[in-house]
Amino acid sequence: MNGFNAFMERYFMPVAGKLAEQRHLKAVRDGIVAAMPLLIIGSIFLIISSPPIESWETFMEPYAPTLNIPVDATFGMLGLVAVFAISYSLANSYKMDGLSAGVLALAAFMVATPLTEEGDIPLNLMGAEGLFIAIVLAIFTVEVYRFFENRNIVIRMPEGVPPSVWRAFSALIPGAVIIFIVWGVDLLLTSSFDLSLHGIVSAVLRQPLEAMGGSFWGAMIAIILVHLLWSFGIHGISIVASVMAPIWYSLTDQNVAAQQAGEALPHVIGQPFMAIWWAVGGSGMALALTILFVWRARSKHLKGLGRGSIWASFFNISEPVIFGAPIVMNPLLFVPFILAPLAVGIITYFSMSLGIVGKPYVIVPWTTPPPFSGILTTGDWRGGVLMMVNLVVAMFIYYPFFRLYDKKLMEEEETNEQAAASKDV
Amino acid sequence: MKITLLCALGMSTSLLVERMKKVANEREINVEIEAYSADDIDKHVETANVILLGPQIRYKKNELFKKAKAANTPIEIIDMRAYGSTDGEKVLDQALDLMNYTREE
Repeated sequence: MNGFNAFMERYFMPVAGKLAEQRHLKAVRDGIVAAMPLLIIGSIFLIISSPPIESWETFMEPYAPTLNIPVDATFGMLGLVAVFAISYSLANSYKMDGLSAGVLALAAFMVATPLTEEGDIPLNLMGAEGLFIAIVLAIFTVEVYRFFENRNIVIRMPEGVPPSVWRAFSALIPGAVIIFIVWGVDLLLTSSFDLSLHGIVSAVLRQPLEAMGGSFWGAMIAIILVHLLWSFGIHGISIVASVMAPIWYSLTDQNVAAQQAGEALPHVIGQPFMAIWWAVGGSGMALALTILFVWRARSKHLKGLGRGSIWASFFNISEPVIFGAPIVMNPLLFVPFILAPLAVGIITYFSMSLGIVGKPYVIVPWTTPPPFSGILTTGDWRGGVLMMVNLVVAMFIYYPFFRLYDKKLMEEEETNEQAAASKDV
Repeated sequence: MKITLLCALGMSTSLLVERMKKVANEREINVEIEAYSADDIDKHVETANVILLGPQIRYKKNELFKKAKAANTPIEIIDMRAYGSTDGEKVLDQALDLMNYTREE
């Protein structure tokens, strides 16, 4: 065990660290996080305008177009918001002017977007469909901008000119070059190959990534990876999500579009599946274990830990249990810690894909407690039932391991007490 | 005096903050204790007298330690056991020790 731990610390930790610190991935993550409040607000209107209950939906139908305005303006603008926010974060991380970078990236994004035949901006390309090209153009813009700044090819203003004025001028040359390149490339693609930048990014980046990230096996690998990382005391989901988040959000946005249009939802996997469904009580279905601690533990340590952390666990914060039990580097607990969410993931996936429970399309804050999170994300009361079933399944998986560990701790506690007592005599 | 705790989102460390404040009150130590997301380290590295990291983000150690050292703010990772059992007393002591240690240097 120690050898393995040393191996992880030495070879794995630096890789995980690099991945999490990687500037571009971090900017993408920050950009998407910036859109989070919008996604949650949009979700509220979405539940009202396109409820999954048929009678209610018919009733709401005349109001749906009005109610869809805020949905389109929040959820539907994910790509547009992301292009600004990602370039803003990336530029700031280089200590460059984030505002100028954001404005330029926004323009580059609009240049690359083909208009509809009527000359309107296509709403569908502003949302998740445009998310991946938003990522590409945000990074491209900042890197070109930086290239010019580093070589000092910018218009400099004399001292004493207000910052907002010189800022506008310093962005002028790189900005013009960025817009010109994006425009030129897009023009070339459209005229010679009848393609668009949106189409190309979608074909080479978005579709393969979504096929992978949205598949059953993709989700299972993500779940295993998250919990393996946690088993070594590393915040698993934040590392895995730094790569996968754009894919999960994009998949969810397709569900949103389908729900608005009154069509069948295409995906099971997406942001709610990953953030809520197999993480009841936090990563590892930790609420199941915490309940066992409170309910069944005989050792003082686990009983105390359970009582102290049950409320945090109810709001899906699992760190106290993960580090307190500890689950970290403790095979008696980290084996079920990986198995329980995996089993829950499988049950949930098949319940949803077989249509027993509605597919998730609503984004709720990850601290929403069960079973409300299950009901809200799917808009289906059966989602709440499934979540409770999942919790019981997780408790069954944890139970034998928990018993062994509890017994071991109890014996240790007794030996310690006896030792203490014999010292007193 | 200001102790800043950082973890992934500043959620789980905020539980610890409450416990630490309680102990600080009992001991009548005048100290400000707050929890934030580690991504916001730039905002807090100058104002904090000491920074403590949740063990789950120790994979970011290099980046965060570098920033703290540049600002001359002492930094350490919270003891895993103390973190798990939200032992406010132990973590407060860790913070105070860390400050004294650097003062002597």
